[in-house]
Formats: sequence, structure tokens, C-alpha cells
Amino acid sequence: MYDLLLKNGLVYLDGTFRKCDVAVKGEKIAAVLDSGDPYAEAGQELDLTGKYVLPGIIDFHCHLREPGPQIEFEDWESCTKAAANSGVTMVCGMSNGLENEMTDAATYDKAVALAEKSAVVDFMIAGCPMGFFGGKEMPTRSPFYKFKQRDFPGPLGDSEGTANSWYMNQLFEEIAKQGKYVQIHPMDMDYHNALLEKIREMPGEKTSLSIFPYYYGEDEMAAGIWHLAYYARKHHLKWQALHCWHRAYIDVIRMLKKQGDMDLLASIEFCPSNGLSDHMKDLVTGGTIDVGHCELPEWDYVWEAVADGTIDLFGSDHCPQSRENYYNPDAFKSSKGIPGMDCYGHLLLNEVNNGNLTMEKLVQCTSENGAKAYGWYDRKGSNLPGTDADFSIADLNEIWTCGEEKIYTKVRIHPYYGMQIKGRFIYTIVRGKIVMDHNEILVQPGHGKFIS
Amino acid sequence: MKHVDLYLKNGLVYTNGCFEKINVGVAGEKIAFYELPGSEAAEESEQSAARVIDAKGLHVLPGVIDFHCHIREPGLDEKEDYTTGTKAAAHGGVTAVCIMPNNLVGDISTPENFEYTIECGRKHALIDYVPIPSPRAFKEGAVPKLCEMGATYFKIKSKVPNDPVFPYGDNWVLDQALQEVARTGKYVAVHPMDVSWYYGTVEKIKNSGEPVDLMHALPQLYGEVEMSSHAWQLAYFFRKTGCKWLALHCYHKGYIDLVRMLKKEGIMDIVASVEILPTSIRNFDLLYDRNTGKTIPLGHPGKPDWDYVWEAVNDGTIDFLGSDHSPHRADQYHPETPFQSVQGVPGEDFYTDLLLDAVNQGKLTMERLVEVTSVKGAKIMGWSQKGTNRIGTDADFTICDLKKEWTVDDSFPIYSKPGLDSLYGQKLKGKVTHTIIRGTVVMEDDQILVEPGFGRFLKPDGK
Repeated sequence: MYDLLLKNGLVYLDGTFRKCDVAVKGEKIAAVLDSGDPYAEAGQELDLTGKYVLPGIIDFHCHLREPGPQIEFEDWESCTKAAANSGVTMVCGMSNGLENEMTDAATYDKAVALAEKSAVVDFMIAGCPMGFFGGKEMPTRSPFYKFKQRDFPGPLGDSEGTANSWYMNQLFEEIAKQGKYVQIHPMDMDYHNALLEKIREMPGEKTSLSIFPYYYGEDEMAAGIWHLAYYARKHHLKWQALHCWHRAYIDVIRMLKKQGDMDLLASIEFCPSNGLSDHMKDLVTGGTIDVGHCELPEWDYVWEAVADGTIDLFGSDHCPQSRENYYNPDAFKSSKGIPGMDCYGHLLLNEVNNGNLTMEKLVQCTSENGAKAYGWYDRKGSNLPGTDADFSIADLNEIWTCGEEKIYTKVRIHPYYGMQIKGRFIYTIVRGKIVMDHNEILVQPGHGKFIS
Repeated sequence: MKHVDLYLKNGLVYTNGCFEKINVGVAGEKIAFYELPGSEAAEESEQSAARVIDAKGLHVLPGVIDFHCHIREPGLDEKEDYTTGTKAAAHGGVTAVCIMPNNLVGDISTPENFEYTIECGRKHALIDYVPIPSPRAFKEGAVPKLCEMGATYFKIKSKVPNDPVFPYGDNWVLDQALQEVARTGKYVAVHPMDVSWYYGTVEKIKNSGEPVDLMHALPQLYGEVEMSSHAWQLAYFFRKTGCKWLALHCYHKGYIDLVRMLKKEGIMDIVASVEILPTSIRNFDLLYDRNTGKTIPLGHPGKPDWDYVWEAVNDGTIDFLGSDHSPHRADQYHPETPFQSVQGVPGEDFYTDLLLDAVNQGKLTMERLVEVTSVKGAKIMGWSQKGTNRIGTDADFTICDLKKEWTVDDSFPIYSKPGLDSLYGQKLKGKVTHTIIRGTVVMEDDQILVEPGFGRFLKPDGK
């Protein structure tokens, strides 16, 4: 007798979807059976005829706020509920914005303990490796690290440069020694600073809508990438190239992968790059927040890079921030994050329906590739018997309007309010437990586990 | 009867991609004909020739071009002027020379500076000369004007302290400058330098506990990381702007790998050069002052893996060579305070000799030597009159005795102004015997035979 039987669904196995039944016992997949197996019995059965059963979606890049100064906008419970709401079974929380920027082991352990109490889906936190320079004990429990190229200690000589190469070299050496991957947001600081200066000098009112399109542009990111590439290659660094959505950035990653002498992953993060959230709905005040968007990519080019394997991973880059600060009179200081977690998974299905990627590709980029790189495969990302029973179950045909459903993010801002979406995650199952059933969260905080 | 001004007989002459034993007839400034030695025609030509050189056992190369050197006029003439610099070059087998703008008047960036430089060369140069301007006055519209005046390519050195136009590694300005040059279709040569790496290295040297002098410091500068990491960064802006890139000083692994990859991918217009003097192709650690007999302990910058460099030279990753002859006065070297000292290595007087020595060591073939000292570069620069030994083109030849074993000593003059000799006492195999420019023997057996003013400003075709 199984605990849970997923019947008649299209199940992702060995690179493709096929109709079969999945039996769950405890936290694990007990068996994959022919559809309609007459001998299978379970305490609970879900008839998933016509539905897709994906290995649980991992959000490889999002921002949580606990512990940290922005906890009033998000905590582990609210964020992981929003994740489950969106089909996500595991979140990778970024260091920046958290207490001490997650640069030391003690704060890291504290964050993990807090998450263990409150999370409803599995999680990891990407520690920041910059503590290396302060002589801190680095958060080595972290499965991988994250930093922005701008994070380095102060400049040497007269130039900030693309980053501080001297320090970057030392850091890469250390991380390579630890054998960990590191996610890096590339940023040519020369270019970025000069650009900001230029925007300040431009005529006209400076608002988020008018200035944000200059941020995270192709030059700033792609120039940074070439420079990073040298040091990453030098140290045989395991490198996840973040925000790989501009043409020139994609081109260099594609070329480096073709050379085949680097350990290189590339990812795209959807919330800041899809341009669907220029005017967010403030569910508290009922007003509209005109946040705008950063420099947008050519999405046809991005989808091509997803299809040909240049892009390995997806993340949401869910980024809850103070609502007041979206109205900061100094637009340069205003919040620019998009708290999109509640809709992230659904938006991906919508892209499948738009013909931009296949369901198989979606699985690879949301679980399989990353689980393999980070050492979680086949426990995560495989749907194989004996592995964690994490599933994201999708109805690819449902057409619905964002805003009609409940959202769980604490900040109560809906970036996609009113948007029509085709495709919806209807169940999120984490280690055998149904965490989300049609927009309702069914488990208590603390179900989520730290995945190392 | 044929009109022959100069007749080179019995030499091994580079034509059509290889060396063959053939005689060359020169009429006026041009190569007029080839004919087989011992033929009746050959006898006739020899009879009628105003001057005959018997090149038996010698190689006749298309005139060697030094694609990168520092002659210090105008601005720092006390270190090297057009006369001394081009005499040294002719002595080193060089028939045309590209002169870098850094540290010269206005960095040779305005039409006025450029005009003045051309004029200096016209009066003082003994070989053909190519002043290379800087694009730093691009905002004032100088770039198209410089091209109109005959600029062949542009050069930027990244590290110029307190430079208001290109502050350390300012990619924002670099981007604009490259966009501007891209419109002209000219190459921009950049000396890549990761400035924060450089400063990190300087601090490390100062705090190392080792003696802080040139001999210890210099080998740690211009290293793999300092140069290669910036080259990788430059790649982005060159590709983005579509500006043609002359990747200078491509002698470190990470840099060579980059250029090889970019060429293989075919995604941008890139050529690469190696400059041989500052890269310890030989032991240049001691500068012997021919005037005083004193020795300056210099050391050498960079420490390239020369096997790797030669591989890149031979597989086509590297397109051409330069000397990077960098003369300074003896009193400007301060070995005990390396960061207040000049650091350049002179060596124009034996530039081609060094390369012949490398051929004798099996590092490259004579054919490849010709390709990287003249054929490829001349083609890239757009000088159809140079570099090929084709009939009808300029009669520029570098004649070499590949077998000659000799020692650099006082019998070998140094024409470079400061009289500093970085090879004093060392043995070489292979020596230039004649330098011939536009049909005139400019140098023969270490003696200079023409007067200042013989050299011409060399422009790309059509200018």
C-alpha cells in the first residue's frame, strides 16, 4: 500500500513525458507503474489525466528576507508559500539583502535554522564568499556561493575597474579550492558608473520608468562577463553566469561552452527580464506601482539560447522590497525588485503555451540540469524511483487571470495583476506531501528541509 | 638592353611564398625582374647593372618591417630621434617602422601633432616610417582627419596615469573611441593592462620582503594575468563596436588562447602581434652602456612561455612581430627604485638578427619569419608596395647570412641614441648583411650609407 498515487498523468522520465502512474511511499518515489496498474493501492490518489508531472521545480535564484532588515516584506514562511503556490518545490535564496549579507558561517547557520522552522518547501541559501576578505569563517555549508561583481573590497590604485581583479583572483582561487559553484552577477563598474552619470545629466524627469531601462544593460553585463571569464577559466572555477539574457552575453557563453574547457552554467531569471510587470498592483492601497523594467533582452534570441543548451537554468529573481521605497523621490534610490514568486511557475507554462520552449526543456532548466550540477541529482530532478517525491503538477490548458487567486508573498504587491495566463501548476508536492493544492497551502511551516 | 640599377645575384630570394635561388633586377625604386642565375640574360644584366651584390649563400627577404617600436621624436628626442632610431632600425635589417604615439607630443592625437610628426620623419628618418596616432582626440573629430592624412592604424596604451581622456581602464570612453574608429575601418592597437591587477602586484612586490629593485620587480610586471585578463575584457568592446583589433603584446597563454578562440570563431576582425624585446626572448637582464662601460641591472618584464608563443606564431594566431624597442637615457634607469624608473628595453640594432637566431634554434622557418615580419602585416596595413618581393613593388630587401655566428661586442655599433646594449657579450647565429630600401642600399656590413631624409612617410594604399 502506497501513501500517494499519481494516476494517469504525463510523467517526465528519462528526458521525455509519458503516461504512467507514480506511487509514493513516505518521502520517496516508490515505483513508476504502467498507467492504470490494477494492483496499485494508495491512501490517497490523484487522477491527473491530461496533466503533466514534472520533477519538482527548483527556483535557482530568488531573494528571501529572513533574517535581515527587510523581513517585513518577506519571511521564510511567506516566500516558500508563494513558491509552492507557483509549483516550486525548492528555493535557492540569495545572500544579498540578508543579515550580514550571509558572509559568515554563524549567520548562515542562523538563517538555515530559521528556515527549517518556517519553510514549507525545501531550500538552500547561497552564502556570500566575500567574508573571505574579512577573515571570517566562510559559510561553507552553502552548496554554492553568490556575489555581484561590484561587491569587491575597495579599489586599488585609482580605478574601480570592472571589479577588483586582484581580489577577484584571490577569491576565485579560494572558491575553486572549495570546489563550489558560484553564481555571479556580472557588472562592468566603469561602464555602470559612467552610465548613471550620463542618465543624471539627461533632460527630463527621472522616474523608475524613465531610468530603469538603462540598468543591467547589455554592455554593463556582457563586458563584465568577458573579464570574469578570464579569471574563471584561469582557476577552473565552477561558474554559474547569472542573468544571461543579452545577446552579447549569450554569444560569449555559447562560445566558451563550445571551447569546452570551462565548468560553466548560465541562467536566466524571469521577473526582472520579462517586461511584464511595469505597472504592479499594490494590493494594500489598491494603487499602481510604476516600476518599469531594466534593459530588456531580445527574447527570441534568449529562447534560442534556451533551446540550444546555452542556458542551463532558470530562476525567478523574486525580489520583495519596501512599497514606500518604490515612491522614493530619488528614482536612483527607489526599489526596483519584482516580487513575482507567486506567478513564476505559471509564467513558465505560459511560455510553453506561447511556443517558446518545450515542457522537456522546462524540466531541464528548472530541475534536472541544476540538480546535476549542484550534486542533488538524482535525489532531486529525476522522477526516478527511490528519489525525493517532489512534483510540480501542471495543467497546461487552464486559462486564467492573475489576481483572481490568492497570493502569499508578504509584501502584498502583485506584479502580474490582470494578466491572462495559459497553464497553471495545480499541485506542488514536496517529499511526498501535497504542499499546494489549487492555490491552497496544505502543510504547516517547517515542512521544508535544507538541501546541502 | 635592360636598365638595371641594382642587381642581386645568387641569393636565396623569397618569392611566391618560398625561397629560391634567383637573381633580382632593380630599376629605380622597384623590383623590375627575376632571372635564373647563370643564364645569358643574367650575365647581361650583371654587366649593365650600376651596382651588383653577390648574395651567394645569403637569404634575400622582403624588407623587414618593425610593426611596433618607440622612436621618441617629437617630444622625447633626447632619448631617441628619427635619425638615430631609424639608423638603428636599418642596422637591424628593418626597412620600415611603425612608431608608437605614447609619451610623444600630444600623444600624436591631433592633425597638428600628426602633421608635425610626419614632418620630423621627413627631415630626419633614414628608412620608411609610419607614425601611429592615438585616437584620444576622437571627441574633437580628429579620427577621420588623421585617416585622411594617412594614418595606418591607431594605438591606445591603457595605463596612462592621470589621463583625463582614458582614465585607468575606462570602458565607457574606450567604447566611444572604438565606435569612432570603427567608422574608419582602421585597426586600434591596445596594450592591455588590468590596472587593478597592476596595483595589486606593485603592493605585493613592495611587501614581499624581497629586494625591491628592477631586477626583482620587472619580471613580475606585464605578466600573464595583468595582460590577459584585460585582453578578455577588451574583446567585448571590440566585438561590440565592430572596430578592428590589433591585439598587442599577445605573448601570454591566456591571451593567446583568447585570440586563437576568437579567430577560430570568426566573430570579429582581430590580428595579433608579439613584440620580442620586452619578453625575454633572450636574456636582456643587463643593459651595457657603450658610452661608460657601466652595466644597468634591469631584469625583464613578463615571463612568457616562449614555446607556447612560437606555437602561436607558427599556427597563425600571431600575425606579425614588432621589436617594442623602448630607448631611454642611461640616467633615467633607477634600478633601486623600480617604480620611479624607466623600464624599457632597447634593441632595434639587432632586431632581425634576434629573429634569425630564433630560426637557427628551430623556433620558426625562414618562410614563417618572412610572413610575420612583412607579408602578413603589409597586407593587413594596406601597403601593397611593401612586403612581398613582387615585381613592380618597392625594392625593399633585408639580406641575411643565416650561418654567421658572431658576438655582440664593440665591433658591432649601436646606433640607438642612448648607446645602451641589451645583448652585449652574447652570441648570435644569423646576421643581417644589407638593408635595401626602394633600391638603395641603406645599410651594409653595419655601416649606414644614406642621409637623414631618405625615409618616406608610408601610407596605406589610396592615401
